[in-house]
Amino acid sequence: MGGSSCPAYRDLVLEAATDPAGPVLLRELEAHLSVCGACRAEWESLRQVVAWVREVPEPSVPPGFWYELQGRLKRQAGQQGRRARWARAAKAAALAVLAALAVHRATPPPGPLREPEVVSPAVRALLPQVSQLAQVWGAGLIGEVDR
Amino acid sequence: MEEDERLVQAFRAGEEGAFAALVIRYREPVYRFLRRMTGNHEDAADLTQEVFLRAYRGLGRFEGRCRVRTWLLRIATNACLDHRERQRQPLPLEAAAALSAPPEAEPDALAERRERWRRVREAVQALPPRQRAAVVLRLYGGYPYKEIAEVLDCSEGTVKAAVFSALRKLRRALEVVKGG
Repeated sequence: MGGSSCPAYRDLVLEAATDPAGPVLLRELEAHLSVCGACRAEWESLRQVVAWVREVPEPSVPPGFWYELQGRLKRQAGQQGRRARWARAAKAAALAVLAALAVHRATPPPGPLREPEVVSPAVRALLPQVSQLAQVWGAGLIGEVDR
Repeated sequence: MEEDERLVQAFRAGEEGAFAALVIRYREPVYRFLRRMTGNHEDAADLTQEVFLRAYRGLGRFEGRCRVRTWLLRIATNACLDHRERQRQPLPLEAAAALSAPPEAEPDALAERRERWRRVREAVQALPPRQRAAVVLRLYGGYPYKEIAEVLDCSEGTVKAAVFSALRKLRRALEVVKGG
């Protein structure tokens, strides 16, 4: 791995040396290695390092770990599921309130109060008295008037 | 692949058992990757749980652009990078010595081999996280470079450069074990 190998073959050397099935030599690569000392040295070096790394045994899984993991995941995922359902319900409620507000805002507001277009003469005659009575009542004098 | 798609669809339809089936299917490759990445069972166990909880939250949004295995390994790599800041306390010296010292009656050849494994583990642990992930996925997982590129979210060429650079570093670190 001195960095002097041919760039065109570097990927091929790397792929062959790290192949999961063990170091494999493709015919094309083999032909090149037989005439290129730098690539041959690179190949040997890579092959050796990969062998050292792969030699380390697979760590063992402590007994009962899968069962414990499955149990912890079931509990925590269940909690998350419940929280998600609550969040969905809250979101739906909030959307319903927003929709109601939107409908309310879309309805045109009532216009200013207008007198009825047809008022009978009898009612028209009473209106000044009603207005006067309201003013007296508003001033707190209604009792004195009665007396 | 088809089984994965079926399980993802079932999960989206509200079938919680589909998620449990996905965990059973992929817990081993995820744990083994994390064990090699962290170098100890406790961290690997915590991270495996975290990976599947993240997956549970994200499975509804999984678009199927890559394999479920690739997606889970990507989550695992990210979880490892997040985990770097909260490394565990080192073992007390006596406990560490008891773990690394070979039994007295152990034959020399076996003791030498154990020593070599310990040095390799340390050298792999000393690699930068993304280089370590690329080496672990390729040399221990046997994954194709294309899939590793998807896991690490980079190009295949970048992965090959990372593995190449990592192997150079390992070579320098392990030079002393040559012929051991």
